[in-house]
Amino acid sequence: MSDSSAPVLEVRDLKKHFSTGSATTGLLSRLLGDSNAGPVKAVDGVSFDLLENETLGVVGESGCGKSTMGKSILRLIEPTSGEVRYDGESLTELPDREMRDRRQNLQLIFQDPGSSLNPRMKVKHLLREPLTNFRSLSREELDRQIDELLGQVDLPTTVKDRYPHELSGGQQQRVVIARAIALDPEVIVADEPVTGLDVSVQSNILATLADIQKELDLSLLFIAHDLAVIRHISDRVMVLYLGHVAELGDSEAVFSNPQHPYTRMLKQSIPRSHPEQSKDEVEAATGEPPSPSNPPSGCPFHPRCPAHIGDVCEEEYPEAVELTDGRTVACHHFEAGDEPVPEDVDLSAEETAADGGPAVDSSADSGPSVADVAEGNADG
Amino acid sequence: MLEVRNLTTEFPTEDGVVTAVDDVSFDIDRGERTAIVGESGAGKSVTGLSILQLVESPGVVAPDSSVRWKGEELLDKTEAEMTEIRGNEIAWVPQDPLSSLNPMKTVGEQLVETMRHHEYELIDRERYQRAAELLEDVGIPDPHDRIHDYPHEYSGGMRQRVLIAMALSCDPDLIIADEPTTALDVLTQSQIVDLLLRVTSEDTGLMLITHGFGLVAELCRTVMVMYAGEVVENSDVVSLFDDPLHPYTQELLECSPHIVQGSGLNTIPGSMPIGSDRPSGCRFHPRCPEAIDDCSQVDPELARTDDGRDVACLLSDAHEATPPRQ
Repeated sequence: MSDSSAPVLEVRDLKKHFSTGSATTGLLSRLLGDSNAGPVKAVDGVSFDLLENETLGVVGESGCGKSTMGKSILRLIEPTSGEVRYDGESLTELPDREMRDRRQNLQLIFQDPGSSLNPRMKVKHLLREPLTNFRSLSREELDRQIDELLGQVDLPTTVKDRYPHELSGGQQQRVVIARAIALDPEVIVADEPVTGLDVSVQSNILATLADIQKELDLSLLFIAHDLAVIRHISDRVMVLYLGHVAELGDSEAVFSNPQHPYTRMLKQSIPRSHPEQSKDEVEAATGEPPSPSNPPSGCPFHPRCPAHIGDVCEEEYPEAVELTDGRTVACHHFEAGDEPVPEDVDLSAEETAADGGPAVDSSADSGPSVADVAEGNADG
Repeated sequence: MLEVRNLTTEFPTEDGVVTAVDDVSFDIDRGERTAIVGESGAGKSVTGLSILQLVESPGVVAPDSSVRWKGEELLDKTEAEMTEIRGNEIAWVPQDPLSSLNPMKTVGEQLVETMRHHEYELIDRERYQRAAELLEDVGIPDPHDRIHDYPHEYSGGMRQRVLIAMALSCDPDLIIADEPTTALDVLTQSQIVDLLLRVTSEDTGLMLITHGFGLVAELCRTVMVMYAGEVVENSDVVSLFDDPLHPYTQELLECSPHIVQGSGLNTIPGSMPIGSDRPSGCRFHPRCPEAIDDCSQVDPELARTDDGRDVACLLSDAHEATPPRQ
């Protein structure tokens, strides 16, 4: 990852709420008596930068808003609020026609290659489609480009005359990738591109994506639920929980020493790499994420959090703070400028770093309490 | 307890006969936890289905195959006798929880139906009681309320728990679980792994069918690697992770991102031959980095190593000791 590189994509306070049974919509939900359910806050205030030539991994459980975020960024669904800037220009305010033009540079790879390819089009027609939509090329030029694209994704040119159903899952995904890179984009949002593929196929596709990223100087926003895959491909990683960013930072730093209690819990769930590898017997992940239509107050993770401090977690949303190693964490355990806590430190018994006072103790002589700090952050 | 010998399952197709499972032999002891690992199309699921005689037509198990369960030949059993064994003795946890549950019936009804079908307990009231206990065992909160819910009211992880509860409902001796955590989140996956560890015991064995090594290290003690319908390696899990014998096992382990951390992922050139179009000799030889000339001629049989592992590769030491039969 190149630290000096400028952000290609700046996402600021992006929100996507889906309305459910309000009075103006949803006859069905009113009939079912569901009318007091609030909007589903799929993405609820996400901010980050995607840097040039970097792979930013996005990880989280189903329903945490990963895919919705990816689609909102490209305005495949309209975000409720917030801003997305691409090369300094705000995408969120562009008229549709201009947005269509920008999509040449902003491409998306969907999860299921079988359903993202038109079953009635041959591979060559599938690859020709983006080129004829945005470029005016001669027939020979088109054919040459299609052959070149197939080469880039390691497909033999013989697949040109096949239909998607005649290809294996891995080959289909390669066609999807070839379509995505056909217009020489700068940003690709890849939504679970290797989920459901065999391990050997998965490693092949990951290698192809990494090669293409290098070759075309792409910025890749890689969305997946598999932490091992994310760790493998990402320069930086962003952990989402219920539409909020829990932790964002250098991939190796986050995975080798996760700070947010949720990231710690996720890391514990990665399967052992060897049967004799010891695994800390940490409190097993319990429960399931709460519904985004009725998220918990305060920190969205507090009902499942093993390091829950007290009222502050239930009442105040923790603002994201930057630690000394540059990562940001949204948790009441941390203050801006803190050192990352070593992994073996149990956060639930953790003291608030700098002042040495126990996190739960808010008596005057033990320095600023976590609640004070949180208020300070909210004000600033 | 389970002895599979020369199991061959064939599917006649327009393009010729596809041998999905080709001469597979293995044992599962009482209370053992075994994994079958292989890529899609390797014949893992068909092996499991063949044991239970649930292979769908036109697939047929070849006549010289043998599947002995507690000493009795399952392939000679009538359908009525197999119904007794399925569920009561060998239970199947299918892959896709959503399409495996009836959307029109409550979870409780389906659990009770399973027990009724297998004549477990005498009256439905007791069965309902047991269904609620099972749901509690597999970690469904408020089981006495949730038992009246329909499958769509459950999350993916909870549906998978219901399927495990259903498999447990008649106290089987062996559970065959086909990719039980595919498409589940990591946290849910580790919960299901814990659950499977908890419910398998001295009395209840597990045969885990999986396409990756992810769960193998967590759950199983022995592992069998399948490639293109054949078993290529059979080993205890620790030895397999320390020192994979078959080149395919080595290559596949190095493709798993959770095992090779930090370094580059391996890629295997080409893809597994599917259907009737299989190479001569060792089926892996066109993709094998270590293949020698003989590999394209001689089909290696499983040979036993000194430390009791099986490998089907001409290059292994075991093969020099026991040359393949011609």
